Amino acid sequence: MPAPSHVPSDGAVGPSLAAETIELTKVYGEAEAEVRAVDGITLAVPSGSYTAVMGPSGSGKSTLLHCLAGLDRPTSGTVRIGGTDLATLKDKALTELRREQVGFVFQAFNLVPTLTARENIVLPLRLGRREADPAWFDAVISSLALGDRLGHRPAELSGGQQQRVAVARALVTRPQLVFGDEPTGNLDRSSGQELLTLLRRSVDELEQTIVMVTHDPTAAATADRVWFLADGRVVDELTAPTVDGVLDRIRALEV
Amino acid sequence: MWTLTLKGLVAAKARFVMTALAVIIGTGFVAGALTFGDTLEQGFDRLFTSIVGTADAVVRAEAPEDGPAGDPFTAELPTFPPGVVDRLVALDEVGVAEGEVEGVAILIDDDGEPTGQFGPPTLGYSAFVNEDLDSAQLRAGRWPQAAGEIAIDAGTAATQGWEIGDEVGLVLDGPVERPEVVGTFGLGELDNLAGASVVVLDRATALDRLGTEGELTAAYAVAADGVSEAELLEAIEAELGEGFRVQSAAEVVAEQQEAFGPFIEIFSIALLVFAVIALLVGSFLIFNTFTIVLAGRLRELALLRAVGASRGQLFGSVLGEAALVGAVGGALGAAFGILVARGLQAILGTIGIELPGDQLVVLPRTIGVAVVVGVVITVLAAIVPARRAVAIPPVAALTEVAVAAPAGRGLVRNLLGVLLLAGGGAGMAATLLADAGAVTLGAGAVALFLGVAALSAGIVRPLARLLGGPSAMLGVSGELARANATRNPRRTAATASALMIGLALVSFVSILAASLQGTLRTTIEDSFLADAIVQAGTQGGVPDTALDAVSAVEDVEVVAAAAAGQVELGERTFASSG
Repeated sequence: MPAPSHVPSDGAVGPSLAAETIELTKVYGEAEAEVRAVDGITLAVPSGSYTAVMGPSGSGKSTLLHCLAGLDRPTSGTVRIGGTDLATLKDKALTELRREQVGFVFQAFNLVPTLTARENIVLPLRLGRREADPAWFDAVISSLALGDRLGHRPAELSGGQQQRVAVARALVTRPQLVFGDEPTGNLDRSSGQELLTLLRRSVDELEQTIVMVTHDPTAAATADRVWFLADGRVVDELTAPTVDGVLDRIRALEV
Repeated sequence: MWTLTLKGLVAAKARFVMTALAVIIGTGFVAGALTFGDTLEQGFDRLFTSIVGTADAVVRAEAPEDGPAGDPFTAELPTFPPGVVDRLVALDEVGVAEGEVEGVAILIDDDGEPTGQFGPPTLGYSAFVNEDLDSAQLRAGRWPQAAGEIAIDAGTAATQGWEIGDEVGLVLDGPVERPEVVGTFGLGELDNLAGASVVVLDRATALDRLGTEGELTAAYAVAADGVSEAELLEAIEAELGEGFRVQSAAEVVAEQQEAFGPFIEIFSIALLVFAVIALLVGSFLIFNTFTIVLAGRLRELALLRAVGASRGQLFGSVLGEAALVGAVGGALGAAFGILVARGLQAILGTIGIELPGDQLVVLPRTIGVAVVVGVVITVLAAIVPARRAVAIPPVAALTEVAVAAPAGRGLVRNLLGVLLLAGGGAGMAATLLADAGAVTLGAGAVALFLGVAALSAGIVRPLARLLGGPSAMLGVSGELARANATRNPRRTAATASALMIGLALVSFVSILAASLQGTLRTTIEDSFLADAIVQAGTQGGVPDTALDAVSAVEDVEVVAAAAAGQVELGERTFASSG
C-alpha cells in the first residue's frame, strides 16, 4: 500500500493513514427487523489517495461513508480520522472534527440556499470563527473556475457550478479527507466529467484525500482504487481501475 | 451564524410573516391596553385641569362626616348660602369670585327616553356671570338668562341632533318640561365629558330647582393683582373659618385624579387580562408556526450540522431568529395596538361612553413593553421547536427523504401533561367549590389548557382510531384518512391545537357574554318580587298620581312604591329599597 508522508498526523496510527475502520458494524432496527447495513468492515484510507466505493443499492456503501465521516455513530467497531477515535468524541468535538478535518460533497442540496457562493464556501470557517487563508482561498477558487460566480446564490448557478461550489467548500478548510456521496449523480455528462477532473486534480495538485461513493463506472475509473461492497462487506478491490475493469467486476458481483 | 439567520429571514419572508403575525396580534393587545389606559389617564388629567378653569381657589362646604363618599360624579355635594360669595368679593385679596350650583338635570331625547343608555351622569349647572371664570366655553349661541332657556354640552347636542332654538325635554325636580336650547358649550377641547350630559341653567332657576334649596355647591375665586395663591387661600380661610374647604386649583385636580384612579385602573386591568389571553393564544400560534417552519427546514439544518455547525450554534440561530421576529413583531404590534386602542374608543363610543382623550397617548414605555414582550414570548415559544430541530442527525442532509428528528417516547411530556391537568383541575375545582379567587381560577384554566395541549399527542392515536371508525367504512379514502391521522400523532395534534385554540376562544367569549347576561338577569329577578314594574322614564321618579292610577287597574293586587338602586325621588338620595 502506498504511504505518502506529506500529510502530517498526530494520531497513534501511522502518519500514512487519513482514516481507517476496524470491524466497523452498523445495525438498523431490532430483532427480526434487524438490518446489518455495515457488517464488520476493516479498511484503511491512505493520505493523498483517491478511493471510489461501489456496490448495489442496499450494499451499505452510504452507511459506510456516513460512519467514516462522523455523520453517524457505528453500532460497534472503531473509526479513526487522522488518528482520532471518533467513539471517544462527544457531539461537540465530533462536530468540530467534521468542520476542521472533513469536507463533504453530496449528490444534491449541498448549499444553503440563502447564502451566496462565497458565503457557502467559507461557511465551515465562519462556523469555527476562522478567517479564510486568502492565498489558499484564491488557489481553490481559481482551480475550480468560480471567480465570477462568488456573489451568486445557489439558485442562480447551474448544477455543475453548484457542485463546484460544494467542492470549494470541502477543500477550503484543508481537511484530512473529503467525502463525496454521488457528487456527479445529478449532473449532465460534461459537467460530471468536469467535476471528476477537478477532484482528480485536487488529489494530484492539492494533495487531498478523497473517498467517493458512486454508481458510475466512469467516475469510479478516475480513482486510484475501487472498493466493491455487497451485503455490508467489502467483497472486492480494484487498484488503478479502468471503466471496463470496473464494469467487469460489477457484472461478476451481480451474477 | 448571524449572517445566516438574517439572510434566512429575509429570504424566507413567508415564514417570517406567519410567525410575526402571531406576535403582532399578541403584543398588539398589550400595547392597545396600555395606550388606551394612558390616553384615558391623560384625557382625564386634562379634563380636570380644564374644569378648574382659571380659578386660583375653589371653595366648597365641608362634607358632613357621615356623608356619602365614592362616585365623584353623583355623590351629594354639601352646600352653602350664596352670601358666602359676597364675603369673598369683599376681600382685598380676591379679584373676582363667583358661585356655582351643581345638581341633577336629565335631558329627554325626542323618543321620550333619557339621553345616555348606560346611565352616565346627568349634570345641571348654573350659568356664570364672569365668563372668564367658567370652565365651560361657549361654542354657539349664548348662555341662558331666564327660566325656559338652557345651554347644553356640544357633544350631547351633536348626538341628539339638537340645534339652537330647539325645544328639548328636561327633567329637573318635577315632570318633563321643554325649555329652549339657547347655547352649546364645550369643556376645554372636549365636546363632552365621558358620556355625561351637562345642562346649564340660568342662575335663578339653578338655585331654585337643582335640589340645593337656594344654596351654592362651589365658589371660585381669582386672586387680585399682586396677590399670590398662598396669600389668597390664607385670606379666604381666615374669612370663612370652619365648615369650608378652600383648595388651590392644583389641589382640586389632584383630588379628582385620585378619585378617578381606581376607575382607570379597573379599565386597564380588564384590558390587560384580555391582552394576557391574547398573548397566551399568540404563543401557541408562535409555537405551531415555528414547529411547521422548522420542519420545512430540517434538511438545511442537517446540512449545517454536517458541515460543522454545533447544536448550540443551530439552537442559537433559531432562537436568534425568534428574537428578531419577536422584536419586529413587537414593534409592529405596538402600531397595531394603536389601532386596537382606537377601536376600543370607537366601540365605547357606539355604546354611548365618550371618554376624554382625542389624541392617543403612545408612550415610549408602551413600545418598549411591546417589543420586550414580543421578544420574550417568541423566544420562549420557540425553545421547544428549536430543541427538536437541532436534534436532527447530520446524516439527514445526505438522505433523499428528510429524516424526522428523533421523537422521544414523550414520557416527560405526558407526565407534565398529567401534572398540569391535575393541577389545573384542582385549581378550578377549588375556585368553584371553595371560592379560592380569580387568580387561582385563571391559573387553573391556563394549566388545564396547557395540560390538554401536552397530552394531545398521546391521545390522538386512540381517539383518531375510534372517531375514524365510521370514516374507514367509507372505503379506501376513509381508511387512508384514518391512517394518516394516526401515523404522526404529533403533527395531527399540532394541527388540531390550532382548532382547539379557536374553539376555546369562541366559547370563552360566548360564555363571558352569557354569564354577564345571566348575572344581570339574576340580579334583577332577585330584586323584584312584583309581576309588573312601573318606572319613570328617567331618574326623576314616579309621581304619586301614577301610583293611584296603577292601583285603580282591576288586575293589580298590591302596589308598592319603591326606590331601587340609584333612583331620584325629587332629592339626590341613594336608596336601595323602600
